[in-house]
Amino acid sequence: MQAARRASTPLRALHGALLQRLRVQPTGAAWGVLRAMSGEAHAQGTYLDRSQVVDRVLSVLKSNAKVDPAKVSETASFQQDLGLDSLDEVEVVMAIEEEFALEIPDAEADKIKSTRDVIEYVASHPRAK
Amino acid sequence: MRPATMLATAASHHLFRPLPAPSEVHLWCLFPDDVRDSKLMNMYQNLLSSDEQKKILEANNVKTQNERLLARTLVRTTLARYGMVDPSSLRFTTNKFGKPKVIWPSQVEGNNSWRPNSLCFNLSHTQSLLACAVTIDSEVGIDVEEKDRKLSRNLMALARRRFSPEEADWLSRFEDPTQQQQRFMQLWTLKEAYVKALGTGISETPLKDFSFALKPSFHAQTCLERAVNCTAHSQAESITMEFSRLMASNNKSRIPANRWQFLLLQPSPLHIASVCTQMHQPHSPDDENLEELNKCFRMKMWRTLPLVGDMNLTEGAVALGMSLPAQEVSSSDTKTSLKQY
Repeated sequence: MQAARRASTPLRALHGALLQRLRVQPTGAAWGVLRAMSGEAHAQGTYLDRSQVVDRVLSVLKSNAKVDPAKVSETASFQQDLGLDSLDEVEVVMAIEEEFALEIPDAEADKIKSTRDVIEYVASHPRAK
Repeated sequence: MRPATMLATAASHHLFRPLPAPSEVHLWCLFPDDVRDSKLMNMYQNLLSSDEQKKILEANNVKTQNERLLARTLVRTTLARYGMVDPSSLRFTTNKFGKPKVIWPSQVEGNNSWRPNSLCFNLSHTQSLLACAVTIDSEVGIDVEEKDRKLSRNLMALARRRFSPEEADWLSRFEDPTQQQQRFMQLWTLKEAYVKALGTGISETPLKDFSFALKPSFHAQTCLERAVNCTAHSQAESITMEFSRLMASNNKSRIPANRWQFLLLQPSPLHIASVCTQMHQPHSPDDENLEELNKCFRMKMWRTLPLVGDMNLTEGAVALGMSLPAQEVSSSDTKTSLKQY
């Protein structure tokens, strides 16, 4: 695999820095190899593949007892579409934190009002797992 | 005026109310189950502005739509009582953080004869109860919840993550799960009521950075009996709020924790509610005056069916706790009481 060969030892640091700046999202298999090889990149922060984020976020929402799974979509608004209130939203944020091993500060959590907000937050977070 | 509005005004003429006194909170509770007549819902709809009606339709389920309709109705009809105006004539704006404020008709028309612009209000609602708190010259916040609401996540994990360490520790000591869950809801409503009273949103005031302590207090029971027009719980508690060291040290213009008056109550056997209001500025900053002001604190509660009638909300309502004058509960007392749990 060309990608794997490029990320050879002398170029690891540069590769990691490039990844951060360009937010390159290679496909699954290559990505797995790159992550394994570019240790520095992992330490500095890597971004999750967006489609995986979407799947996992939707799954977390659907497993919330207050939520009707049929109403969950990428654009669903918590209040308008899912009928959630502020305490429900706190629970949703906590479930997202657990799923992606993140800590979302109150100020940021307060802005998360829809599935899209969650996806954007997680997808642009360098330490999401 | 449209026919429906004329009917509404005529019907509600007898419902006009005098303004709350200083240090007084008026609490208007609407139980959706009381609304049996769909004609009434239509009349309510006619009170709303076109923006409000549009917002209702944005909700994609009937339950939320009805809740929003009742919420706007409650706010309009409640405030209209004090202004002796047509509920549909009120206009609303928000502060820069999104907290709603009312614009009175006299302000709009430039009529200077009477301007009730010192009236403050806050609304909270769940599926089975809507409540609007009104004060004069004092910010107010309210939160209502269903008392036995089930959390879909582990309660202690939520408390550890979002509440203060002291609050989480206190919660962890309750062995009975029902009691622990109800205490969680009490803390939640107290915290929400404070944030809503501040009106600056949660980014200014992370939930972790302020802490409530509830402590059984005979004095609380006597204060509650004087302050509210419903039963005071036989094991009423004092409510104390403290800021974390971090919060206390930044933003020196923040109103001190002990200048906020809290009240915790069950407006019905199924609900828990917290009300937060400012204590008025004393003429001198000494404790004696603080106690005097606190003695004046009153809350009046009504059960209302907008456009139809009201009654005092005494039956089924229980007051659980309130803030007491500073000298009643010093911080060392609070620490001692926590150890006792």
